[in-house]
Amino acid sequence: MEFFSILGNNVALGLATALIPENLFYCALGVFLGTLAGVIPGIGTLAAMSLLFPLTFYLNPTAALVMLAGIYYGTTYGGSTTSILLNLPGTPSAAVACIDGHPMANQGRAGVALLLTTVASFVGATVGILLMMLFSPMIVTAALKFGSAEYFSLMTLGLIVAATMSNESPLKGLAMILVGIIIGLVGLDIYTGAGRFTFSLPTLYDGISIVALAMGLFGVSQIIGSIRIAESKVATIQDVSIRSMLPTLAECRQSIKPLLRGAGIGSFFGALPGSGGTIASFVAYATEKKLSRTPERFGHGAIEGLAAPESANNAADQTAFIPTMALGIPGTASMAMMLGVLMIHGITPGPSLMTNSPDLFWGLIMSFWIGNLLLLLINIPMIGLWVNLLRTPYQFLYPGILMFICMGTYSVTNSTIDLWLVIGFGLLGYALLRLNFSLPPLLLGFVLGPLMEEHFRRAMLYSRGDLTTFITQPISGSFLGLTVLILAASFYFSLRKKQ
Amino acid sequence: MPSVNQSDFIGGASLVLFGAATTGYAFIELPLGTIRRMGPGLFPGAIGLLLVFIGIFITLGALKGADQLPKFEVRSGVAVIAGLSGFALTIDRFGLIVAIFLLTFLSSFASRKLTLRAIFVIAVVLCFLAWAIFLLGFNMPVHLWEWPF
Repeated sequence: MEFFSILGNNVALGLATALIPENLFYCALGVFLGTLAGVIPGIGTLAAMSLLFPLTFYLNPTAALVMLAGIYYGTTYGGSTTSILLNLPGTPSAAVACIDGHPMANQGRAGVALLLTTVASFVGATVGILLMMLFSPMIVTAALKFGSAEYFSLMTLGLIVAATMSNESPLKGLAMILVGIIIGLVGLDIYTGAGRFTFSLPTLYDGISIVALAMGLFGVSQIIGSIRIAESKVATIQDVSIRSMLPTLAECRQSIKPLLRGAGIGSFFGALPGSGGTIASFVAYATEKKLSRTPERFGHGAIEGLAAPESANNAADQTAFIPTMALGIPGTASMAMMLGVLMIHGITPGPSLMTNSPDLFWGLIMSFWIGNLLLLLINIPMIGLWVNLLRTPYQFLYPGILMFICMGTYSVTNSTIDLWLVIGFGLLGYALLRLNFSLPPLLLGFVLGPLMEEHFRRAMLYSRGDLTTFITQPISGSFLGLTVLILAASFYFSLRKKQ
Repeated sequence: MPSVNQSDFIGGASLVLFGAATTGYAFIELPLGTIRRMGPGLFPGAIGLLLVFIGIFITLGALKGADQLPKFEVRSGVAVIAGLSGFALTIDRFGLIVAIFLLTFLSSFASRKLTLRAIFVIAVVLCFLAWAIFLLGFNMPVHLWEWPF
């Protein structure tokens, strides 16, 4: 009983923080801007997040945090809107939404599909948040016993899973992680103060800014790749009225169970390091198809085929916060982005955050939930605006996106050095995209690399230079054992697929 | 190069070079320390070495496949980079309006559908948006207009 009364207190504390009118306003602003950026074709969730994060740097930490939550959900929802109306997924996890969502739009049921996405997002996130509230305290209790060896092994596990699961070629994913780690190591060494890869440029002493990296990799490179393609495509989108969003009673009944099943599947996969929403949404889709009495409807606008994966996707996004907030180890690129921005605001997620500043921790969790609620309320009347935005030809939009990239980057430090970094990373990102390398693992390596080095060096100090410490300590050893198993399995499957 | 996966070949070879450069820099420029008291160069050096190995495997794997090098959108790339560089070069010395006009005009070369009038309208709208959001909304310390001479 004591556990639940503590939980109740925490929820009350969180709600009190999140419900201050000022915070509510910034949450709503975040949701609105996030959806706006997410809807623009060619701007995926990561690009939209990096575009908008600089706006939060001018706010006080709590308001900034609440606005971040709004932006995060807004971008995800905006991506699904583009998937359904244009059949153009902004993110891999939104790709499943195209399969049945776009046929629904073609049948004139776009309104229902869009409303369902919002509801699915809310249901998925609510289940995910509940699980997060239940499990985070337990994980924190366990994590307080973790030493540096355990952290290093756990991060290795997370990175390996992220590299091998989300990618066709595990080797290329691993390579991107290593490149990310190297970029992350730029700056002054924390132990000795020696400048590494700084080439005597004082601006590089603090390391490379995550905003510059993400804007270049996910913003600039995408724009370069999209201009010609998007310009030649003429979008034909029908009007979506609020009335057309109302689902029939049969549609409601059809989608309740898939929504809950999807949330369950998503919660499970999201909490695992590295797998995240993409796998969760594919598994949820496959499950619904298998359970359905009429699997032939799938791919032709089956409402279950949209409800389950969308709910799974959002639940996974939510439970992905469990390792991020409780352990300080992000499992996906968007979580890495979130972690990086929280660190800019002076907040280091991890077991000590929940014990030392519970108001911040629970305030953030509750604002996620309120962010989702606002998403539901704001987007229903706004849908006409999003449709018109999607109709706007891309050539009118991309100079604006570039302007936001420039102003956002420049506003962080008021120096042009970061702008040159954005240009450099934009070129790098474009080249890598064309050469079929995937970029999210790079960002994950960038955020986790410096943390891994710190823990590795500390573990070496404690064990007096004994490398076997990672294997002989039971928890660390089992993490590494699991890592080796996953690596072996993924190489086996990728080799078999080639033959 | 027939029967070579060209994108993997080039990508793998670049990774080998990047990894080797990292390791070289770390081992030459930074103290390595001992494994017990690791210096700043040891971890980056090791990561670079790992990247060299993975790069070699990707390059070797490319010899088996067959794939053409994908087309690069050179025109879009040059225009976008020129626009961003124009902004970066002028924002400090000439202020927001000049920087945004330069960004819009240079990056518009990527599009074949934008007319001069449309570009002008976009630039004006963007200046207004930047002023409203970043200067009014977030109190960013940027000058709208500046003349260094």
